[in-house]
Amino acid sequence: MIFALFVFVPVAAIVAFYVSQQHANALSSATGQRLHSRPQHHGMHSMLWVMLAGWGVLLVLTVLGETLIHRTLIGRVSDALPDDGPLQWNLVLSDARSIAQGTVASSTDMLREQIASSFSWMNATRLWGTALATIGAVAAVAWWTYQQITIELRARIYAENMIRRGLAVMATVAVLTTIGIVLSLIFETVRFFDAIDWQLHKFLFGTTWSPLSGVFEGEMDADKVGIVPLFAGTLMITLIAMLVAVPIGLFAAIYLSDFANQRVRAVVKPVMELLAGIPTVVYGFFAVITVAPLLRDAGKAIGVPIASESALAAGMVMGIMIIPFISSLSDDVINSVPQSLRDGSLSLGATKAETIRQVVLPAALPGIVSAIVLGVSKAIGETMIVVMAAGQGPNLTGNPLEAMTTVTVQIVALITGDIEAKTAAGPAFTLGFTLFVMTLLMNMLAQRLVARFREAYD
Amino acid sequence: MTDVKIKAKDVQVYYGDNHAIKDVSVEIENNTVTAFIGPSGCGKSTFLRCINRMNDTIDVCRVEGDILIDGEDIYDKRIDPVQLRAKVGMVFQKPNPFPKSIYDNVAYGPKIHGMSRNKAELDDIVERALRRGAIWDEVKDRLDAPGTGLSGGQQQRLCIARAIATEPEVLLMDEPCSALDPIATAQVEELIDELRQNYAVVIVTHSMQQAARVSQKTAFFHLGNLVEYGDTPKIFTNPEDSRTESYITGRIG
Amino acid sequence: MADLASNIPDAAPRRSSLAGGSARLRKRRRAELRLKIYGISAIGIAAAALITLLSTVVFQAGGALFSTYLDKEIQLDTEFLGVTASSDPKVIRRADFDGLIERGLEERFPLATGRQERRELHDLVSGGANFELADHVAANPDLLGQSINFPLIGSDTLDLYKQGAYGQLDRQPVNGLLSVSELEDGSLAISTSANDFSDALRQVKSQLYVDADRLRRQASRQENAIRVYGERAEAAETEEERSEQLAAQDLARERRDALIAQAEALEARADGAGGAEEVDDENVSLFIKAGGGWIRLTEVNRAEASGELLTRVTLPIEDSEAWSFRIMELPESNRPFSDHQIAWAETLNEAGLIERVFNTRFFTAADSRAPELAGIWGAVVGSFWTMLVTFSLTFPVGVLGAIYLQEFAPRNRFTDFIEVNINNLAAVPSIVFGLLGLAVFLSFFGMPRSAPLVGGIVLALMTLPTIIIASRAALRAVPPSIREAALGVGASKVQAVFHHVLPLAMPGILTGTIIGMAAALGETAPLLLIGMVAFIVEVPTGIMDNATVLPVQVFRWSDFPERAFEAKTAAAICVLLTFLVVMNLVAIILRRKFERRW
Ligand SMILES: Nc1ncnc2c1ncn2[C@@H]1O[C@H](COP(=O)(O)OP(=O)(O)OP(=O)(O)O)[C@@H](O)[C@H]1O
Ligand SMILES: [Mg+2]
Repeated sequence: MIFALFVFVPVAAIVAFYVSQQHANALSSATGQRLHSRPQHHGMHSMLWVMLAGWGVLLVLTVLGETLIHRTLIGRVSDALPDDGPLQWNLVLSDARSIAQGTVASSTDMLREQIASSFSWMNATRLWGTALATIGAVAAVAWWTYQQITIELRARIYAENMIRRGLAVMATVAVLTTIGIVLSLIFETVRFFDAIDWQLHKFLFGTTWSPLSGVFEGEMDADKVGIVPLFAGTLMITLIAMLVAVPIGLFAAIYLSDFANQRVRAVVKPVMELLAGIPTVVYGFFAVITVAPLLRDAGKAIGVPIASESALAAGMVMGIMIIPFISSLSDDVINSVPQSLRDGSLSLGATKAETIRQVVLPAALPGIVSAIVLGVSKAIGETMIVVMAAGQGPNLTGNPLEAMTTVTVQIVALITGDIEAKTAAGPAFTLGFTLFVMTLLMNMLAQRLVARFREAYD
Repeated sequence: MTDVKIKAKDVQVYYGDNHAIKDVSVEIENNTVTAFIGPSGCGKSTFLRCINRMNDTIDVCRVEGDILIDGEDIYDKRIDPVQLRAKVGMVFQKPNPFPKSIYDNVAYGPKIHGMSRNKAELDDIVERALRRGAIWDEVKDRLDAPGTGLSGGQQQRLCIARAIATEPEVLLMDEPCSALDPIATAQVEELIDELRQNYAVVIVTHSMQQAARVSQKTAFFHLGNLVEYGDTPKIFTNPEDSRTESYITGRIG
Repeated sequence: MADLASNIPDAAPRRSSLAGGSARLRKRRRAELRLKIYGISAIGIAAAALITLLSTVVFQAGGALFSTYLDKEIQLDTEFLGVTASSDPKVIRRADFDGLIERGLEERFPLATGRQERRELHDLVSGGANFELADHVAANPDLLGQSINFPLIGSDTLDLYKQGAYGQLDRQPVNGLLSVSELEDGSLAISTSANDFSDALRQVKSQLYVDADRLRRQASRQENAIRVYGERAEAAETEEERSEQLAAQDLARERRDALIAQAEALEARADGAGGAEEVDDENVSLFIKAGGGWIRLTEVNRAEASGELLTRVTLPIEDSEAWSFRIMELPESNRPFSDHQIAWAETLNEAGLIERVFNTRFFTAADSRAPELAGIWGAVVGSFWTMLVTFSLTFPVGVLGAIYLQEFAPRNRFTDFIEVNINNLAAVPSIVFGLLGLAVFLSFFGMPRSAPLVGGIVLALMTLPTIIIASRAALRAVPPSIREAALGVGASKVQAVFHHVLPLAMPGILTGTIIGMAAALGETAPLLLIGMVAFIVEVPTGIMDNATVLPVQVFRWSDFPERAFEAKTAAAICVLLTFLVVMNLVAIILRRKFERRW
């Protein structure tokens, strides 16, 4: 039904386009006057209005209706089963929906049947209401624009202004996304800090992370939400990753930009792009299946025990993942150091290596640092590799051969674990917020640095 | 005094399929300023860059024929271009100081060639080069300031000082004054005249007056050919080739 | 310029030779070579990592290419099933086909009587085989009462065994004649006329060294304890404490001596030439095939052995030369496929009843908890729906937003802010988008969990900055002259952009979009948070159904303990990578084809 309406709106809009166009044409030939706007602009004017009104009404009513029904029914279920939690209520509700739609429900009882029948009529009302309102809105707006058509109507200008506004709205979606992220993170973060009585120092400097073990009546045990073990793991893995990625990426970039000829570049660049295009879950699999056993065997051979889930394996594979990132960004900045500087150095009798080390790299330094900062930010935010290869236990250790956990792993563990969502959300979103702030700061720093580099050479 | 420093014989240069220098033979003398003139795109820069093998950095560029400096073939396999460039310095059209301090800009060459044993010697070399670049008085109080912060003319003189600091024997200059105002140009020209005493100087220029003012010998290039080469006064007053005449009187180019 | 002249040391022409580099120059050249080598090595390492990764995946995926079927004749016994050809298909489908299959196997191998053995026997066939048989019969009820040949899909362990994942059943050379007789307690007395078992005996004995080593390690721990007790005794302050420690030390000494004695005994046994050794499940497995059946050795000496029957054997055997002796290196306790199962599988195999066929099921089925039944199709379709949602949101919004920012937006604080914002959004970790989806779309708007709709929206928001940035670059690359030309003939700005600039920028925009979509297709983390990690056995039919996507499927399978899932995971990765490669190729071709230099 909703989908049919969704398709109906543009169809109606196209009809409106032709009708208005015809009308404008007729008007101009009847009066013999020149229209201010061409007939198709009148058509477009009608069409845009119809689409706007139709889709707008449809969207608002769908979302509102769904939410309203959901809220009402959940309210009724929770009144009937005050002892159960939201998970149970949702289950009842989804069963009721299944019953109403005639598909298989996990179980049936009186309550579910009742809710199902309420759902049936509410849903029917909603659908018919939405349909009527949408069609009504489309018709009304079509009529209104049709009425407006005159010789003088500045349809083109109106239509183009609508288009401009529409474009501007699209451009702000990114901003809305950011606002959405910040709001959704902050909301739960504040609740979490409330639950630990705003003992921020315990969160930032505590060394025990076990947020769900001390939960009691909405109160959290502030001594068990120390983020230090997670930071330690994140930093250790990031460090290992950067130790792999920075030298390899940087040397590769130097070679590609200053030593390799066109043919080598034509082969190597796609290889790097391929590395960059591999999904992280594949890297995670690689870490588990190949790198971790390899390290363990190597460790056994030299008598060093290496855990099968180790920070080292995760970090190394993450490093491989970040190589193309560092190399392509550095390649860009190294290439944009002007040739005249290289010529100046070479003409003094410097070798290529001296030129690179003493002229090119210092000149490209801000750009390279920015690439590294972005790489670090990527490593910190990377999830799948560490979820699969780094381990779950918040283990405060300086030994990269043991399992360590990271901020991202804990977010996934909290949200996908079988703890009640309401309890797990607080710590998880707080970690998310921390992650967001860290990566945001790093990204802004990186952009500053790059801007400084660009200023100097563009 | 005919003391031949650079001797080119049947030099051909190709950029891929583009034949940029055709059959050029020339003898450039020591302690002389030689000017290369000719219309844009005729190959002056290309030929100049052959003399210190800067063309090696361009992938598609191919050089044939012989260029001898002090009787040694510089395109011989045993010659290291790095060593050659220490002997044949170059100054570019656009001043290109390194993003380093003024001091480091000048000290760069001597350092990589190991020309000084200690800081004092290096200081000495830097001061001497800056003096001979006629810029010492302007920068002596701010040697630690970045070289990129100087004015265009100062930057160009800094680049000249940088080139002299490695004590080359030949100095190649590709339109060294094109980015400079008349005052700075005059300073650089004066400098070139003094440098002649120690070096063979080759200068590419688009300005007839400049060529006439600073050079003793002039070579006129046209479409990759060396059309005429001789004493500057003769080229400017009594050219043999009609193309040269047209060019210096402003009818082609 | 007098001071200048004084700086010039001598005006005589200098001539330095270029021939023969100095030591310093050679050193500088070496430094250059070193930098070059670092660069080449860096590229080599990156390439090697890529090749290792891809070859690991492809190599592992080979195991998922084929599946094993048991092509045994099945008697569709109407009495046993309790249905007839005229029964309702629904009733037929519910009949006990599972029991029928199990009965068939038990009839074939009547020696399997114990609970454990019968379970192992049933485990040769997948738990999904009976449903397939039921469906087949329900669709053709006339078959009831007949004997049919229906390929039953084998279990994952049978498949792994057939692949050789547990190693080969190695055939040993034999020279002697074999005699087997049954003793009173049911065990078998076995002998050969040559020392055919001596190699096997050596292998069994090598386990003794391993055991002895373990004992010695325990002894050295006791040694440590002895030292510690001694130190404590010395440091003791009271006499009582001291004697306590000394007593403990004595105890430890005793234990150590006992352990060492045991170890020495084991080593002596291992070094000894003969002597019967017991073969337990931590040892290699030894099989004899003779008299039409399989025997497992429980004790072995060079020419004699004790054993037990795995399948039916005609006894007694006297001085027969028609026998073979086989060794399975991997101990029974280290593999999920028992000695019995090996004997049964080999028997069936020799009867030509086991076949391996191309695993089409993998490409047509949805997820399953049983590796041999699991397929990728559900995830592929889930990915399709998700990408459909992502594309239809992110492409129009991204492109139109980019047009606004690049062509129409006034230069002011707000547009600067939008620009910074987009750049920052591009670097937000993907998992944060998952949290956004969880908080806004699931909790606030109450959208369904696990649905492609929500997954698609989240990925669309994540991809948006990429597409905006790429589209802006493509628009920027269209030279201003095009806009001016259009405006010059009287087009409005909107017309100039949509009629002239946008079509020219389209290839670049599409390239950026495809690359963004490829990244979205491989994205996992945010989808985990919005519940797309659930176990879903149905192929989704729309954007509101429960669904999973390819990378999440990879993640789930990689997490399962069954070894057979390793190959499935790798195969799923191959499918995913194939899609990504195709998308990237399209992007590259687009770029090549429409690349334009203005
Ligand atoms: N890096 C290069 N790659 C390909 N062709 C080149 C390159 N540099 C110069 N050329 C070509 O070689 C020819 C000579 O160029 P060159 O720069 O030597 O001219 P020029 O005399 O210095 O001109 P101008 O006075 O404008 O500097 C030209 O046709 C030019 O197109
Ligand atoms: Mg030039």
